Amino acid sequence: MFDFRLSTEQEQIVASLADVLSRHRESLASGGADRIGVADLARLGWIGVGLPEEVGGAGGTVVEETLVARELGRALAPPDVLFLQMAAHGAYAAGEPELASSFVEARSTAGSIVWSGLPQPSAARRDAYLLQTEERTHFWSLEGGDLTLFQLAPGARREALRSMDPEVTLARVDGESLRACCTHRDADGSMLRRAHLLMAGMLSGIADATRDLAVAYAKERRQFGRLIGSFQAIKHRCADMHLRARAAGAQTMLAAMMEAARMPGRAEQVQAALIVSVDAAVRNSEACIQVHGGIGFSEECIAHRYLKRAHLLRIQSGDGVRLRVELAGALGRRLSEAHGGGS
Amino acid sequence: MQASITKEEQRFREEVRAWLAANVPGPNPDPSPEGRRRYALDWQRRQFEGGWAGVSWPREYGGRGLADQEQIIWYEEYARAGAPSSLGPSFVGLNHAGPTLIALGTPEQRAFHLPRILSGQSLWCQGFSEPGAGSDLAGIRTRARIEGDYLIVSGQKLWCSYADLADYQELLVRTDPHSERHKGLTWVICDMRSPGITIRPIRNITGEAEFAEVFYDDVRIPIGNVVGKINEGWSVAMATLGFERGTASIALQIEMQRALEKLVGGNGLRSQEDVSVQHGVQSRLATLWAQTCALRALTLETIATASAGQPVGFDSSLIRLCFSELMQEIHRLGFELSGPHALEMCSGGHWTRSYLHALHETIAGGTSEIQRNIIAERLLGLPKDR
Repeated sequence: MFDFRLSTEQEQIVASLADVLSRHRESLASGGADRIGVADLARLGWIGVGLPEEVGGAGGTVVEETLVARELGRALAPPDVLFLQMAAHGAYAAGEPELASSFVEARSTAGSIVWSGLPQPSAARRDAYLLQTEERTHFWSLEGGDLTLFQLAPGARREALRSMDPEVTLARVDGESLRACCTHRDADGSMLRRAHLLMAGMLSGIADATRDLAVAYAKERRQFGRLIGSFQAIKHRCADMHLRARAAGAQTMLAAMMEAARMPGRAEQVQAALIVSVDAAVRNSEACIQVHGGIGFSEECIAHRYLKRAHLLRIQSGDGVRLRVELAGALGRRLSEAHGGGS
Repeated sequence: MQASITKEEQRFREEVRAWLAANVPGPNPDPSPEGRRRYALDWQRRQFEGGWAGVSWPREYGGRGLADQEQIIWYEEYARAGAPSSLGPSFVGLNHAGPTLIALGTPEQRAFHLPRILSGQSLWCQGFSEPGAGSDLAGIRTRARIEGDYLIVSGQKLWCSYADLADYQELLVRTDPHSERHKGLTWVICDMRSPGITIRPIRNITGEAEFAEVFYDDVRIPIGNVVGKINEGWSVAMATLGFERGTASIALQIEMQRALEKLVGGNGLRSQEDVSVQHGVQSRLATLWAQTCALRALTLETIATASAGQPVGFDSSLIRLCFSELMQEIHRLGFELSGPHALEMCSGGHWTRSYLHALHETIAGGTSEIQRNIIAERLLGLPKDR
């Protein structure tokens, strides 16, 4: 059975995180300076929530990590928390516990790589986009079954680009200037599933937050002598947002529970979680802008930042037609085995 | 927040699976009203004899009183075994009228009707909607005047499913002629063989007649058939919501996912030669499949987090809305992938019929517009527009 209730410990995790992060989000909305950075989150122990105690982690499972990811997404926390967690897991799995614990404590830091184009025989021929909030010591990439930590060669040329996401700097580098410093072969796919769960967690947090923002606005804004939330067009859009957010959140936690329990069928459920969370975050963010009307389209409203973060996570996750076609293929094979085999 | 499979759950699932494998009937061979009635009652009786009638009913009323997790397992195995749809003619008795009598019936009403529902002796239908009272159920005008020990009913009901098969009807009438809206209504058990009742089937867009108009011409109903108090029928009608755990929807969701999996299995894709078209279809299939998973997760979460003994409440509107729109997406896709074969209207097992039939999902049992209003007002606290 799936027990969706939070344990006391999990409730405490969520409550204390939400408290810390609400100040971060208010400060984002008001332009204030009370922002939380990776160093703060490391100090509070949130980087290592799912890492073993031997590297300074809390020894939790991917369920706790996903719960944390959801709160981080909800508060629009810097995405490189997720990058740091993946880097720590990658280092640990590659047999580098020292490096792993330096990520857990944010003594080493991580940005991420999004490769432009498909893998070529020589990685050097591809450009790479580097994503980071501040200067990072390492960059992680998970592709073709390998999680690799890279460092940028000293003096490497970076072309600074104007990033869609205002909090994430974007640079393009020649793939040749990235030096692999450790690699883990993700033979059983668990590293990819963890990455997808963390992203789905953040995305479902974004879906929740943008629904809440839209509903709050609909309860305040008056036009034609009434609250706009009393108009069915607005009300129904909010209802759809709620359904998307609830469904994405439930599926993400169900998939995380299955992954933690190593239940059969978990790979498909994790992919399903990613697909619905991407859809929920993107569509809810767009709907949030819509509900806000003109203000929603201005920089002043925070909705656009959720939207851009949602797309960044979507691109980082690799969700798209190709991933979905692969899922359909895997389902098709499983179903024909089920029908072809047996009595 | 953790997943586990206990030995008891495993054992229970095996017991259910074995019983279903040995007892689920083949398809109904006789589509006449008498044939359909017999088929539904026989299956209900077989479940009763096997100890599986009323899985969610409390034991003290003859049910099995299964815990949530066991109900989930029952409905999962039920759907996987291809058992007769839970939305068949037994639906109203088991899921609506029976629970209402459990909540508010007199001891005599319960003693008479509940065993007959459980053991496959009587079928029920619902007489709520009228031409002027669809989404706005409080607009009911079928009237009942009280003469001595009888209610005399005149008027008309609409969209009554299985009216031609049912023995009894849960009937909502206006007993106070000066009342308006939800005041002055009475919930009464109507014997469908009473003189003065005329049933006229309604053909729907699939060409089938699964529901009917029912006309009442001075129909005499004993006052002992009133459930709850006279003029307080609205609260009786609402009482059933207090019973539903949301577990029955799991069977319907699995049936829906199986329909989608037929498409994933590739039958529809062989007709698409172009690889890019194939990829478009596969992407669509994977997305829909992911959405059926998410609906199931949402349902399980809703059941798990509703407190023991409490109804799932307005979360059921989320589930209903999601299910109904997904049904339409899936059956529309199957219909489209059928290519020119879709031109032919067949009765069962065919996408044209199932696509057309799916159009009722966003209308029946509360329209999507009403569901969205409930979600917005009751779950999100947005203001009413009236």
